Amino acid sequence: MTIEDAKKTLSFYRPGSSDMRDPEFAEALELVRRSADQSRRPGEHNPELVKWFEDHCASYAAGRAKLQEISVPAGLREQIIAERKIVPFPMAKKRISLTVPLALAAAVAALLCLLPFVLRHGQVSGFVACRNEMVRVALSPYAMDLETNNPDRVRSYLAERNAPANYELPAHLTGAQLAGCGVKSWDNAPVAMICFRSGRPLHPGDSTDLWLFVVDRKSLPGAPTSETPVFAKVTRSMTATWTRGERTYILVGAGDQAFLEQYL
Amino acid sequence: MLGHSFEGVVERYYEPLYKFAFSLSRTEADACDLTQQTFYIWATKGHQLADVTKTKTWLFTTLHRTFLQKRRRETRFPHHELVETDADLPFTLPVIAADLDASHALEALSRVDEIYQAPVALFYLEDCSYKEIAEVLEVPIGTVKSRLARGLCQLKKLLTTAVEGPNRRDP
Repeated sequence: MTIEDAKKTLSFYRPGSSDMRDPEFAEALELVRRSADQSRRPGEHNPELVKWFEDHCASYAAGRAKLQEISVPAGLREQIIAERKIVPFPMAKKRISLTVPLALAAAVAALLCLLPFVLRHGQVSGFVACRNEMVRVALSPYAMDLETNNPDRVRSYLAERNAPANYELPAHLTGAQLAGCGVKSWDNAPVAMICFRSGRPLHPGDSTDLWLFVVDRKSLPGAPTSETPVFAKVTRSMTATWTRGERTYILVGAGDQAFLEQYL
Repeated sequence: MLGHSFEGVVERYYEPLYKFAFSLSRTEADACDLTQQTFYIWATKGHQLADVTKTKTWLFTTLHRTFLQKRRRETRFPHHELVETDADLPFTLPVIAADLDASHALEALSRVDEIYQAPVALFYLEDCSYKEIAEVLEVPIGTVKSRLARGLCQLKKLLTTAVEGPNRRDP
């Protein structure tokens, strides 16, 4: 292997990483070691490769250190784990031992005892899970099923898909620019998603920044029953929830409470 | 004991995933969304992964795919495949000056051609083998290296300009 060959190979070498054990680099690293040994003997100076390799390692370490300076927002881990709670548990591929049926039997017995309590109080978590899921839908990459600024087209599109179409928009929300709609589902019930633009500069990649979700109130027990909006911050968004007639409304906006209040 | 529980996987990988996401998207909000979306997908589909030693690669691949899907939808940029040829090697690594802070380094990275950004970020950020990087980017190892070589050459030029100033003339 020539010095130039070694440089080509070691151009991809990352000191301190698993590359140290990668056989692809072994021969070139050996050549560096031999060159370093030779450079210590009088009259056998061949420092070029050694110097190049030292510079390479220093540059890599500096670059890595710079990118490692990226700070992770506080609370991100907790947020990720909290969102996990709204995801249905998948079936795990685990060997079933004798303890599993016993544990299941105990759990069923406990559930039967707790059933009246769960029926009374468990509805709140259903609403919270739905609200969190709608926020996730709003913030995640999605495509509107229909892009239009025509409110009649939105209503007819939703009606054709059995989603709530006879909703009542808050007076000030009509001032926002209608962008389109989509149909989502929650607990097998259709949810209308109506998308708006507030007029503020949009975040790169976003096409909307206000979302109104409309659900049949019977599908969302535990939701606020009043027409007075209830605000709650979910991740980096603000939500306002209210119920009017047979519909429960969840307005999601990329902003604070004052931002949402402009549209209610 | 966290092990391969959801919490254990989050604990182990959320920071490197966020840093990878930030190096691609360069905004905190987008990086948070990408990281959360990746773990959401893990929560719903991760159990299908038969080999738990592939968890890291699976997560990075998922994040990268999610980023590309989002970006394609946003910009509708044409997917331009390069003619993959051997890069002009050896390249020299960009010398990142000590007085450049991380934001300037990321700013320079953002100006590297998009197709080279993920290989360069993975090269610096995470202790992924080249085989793992190839799996994350879903391209052959040779393609990883040629993109990396080109990306680092671009980064070097950008950083040199940033340190020396655009008006400096080489002797």
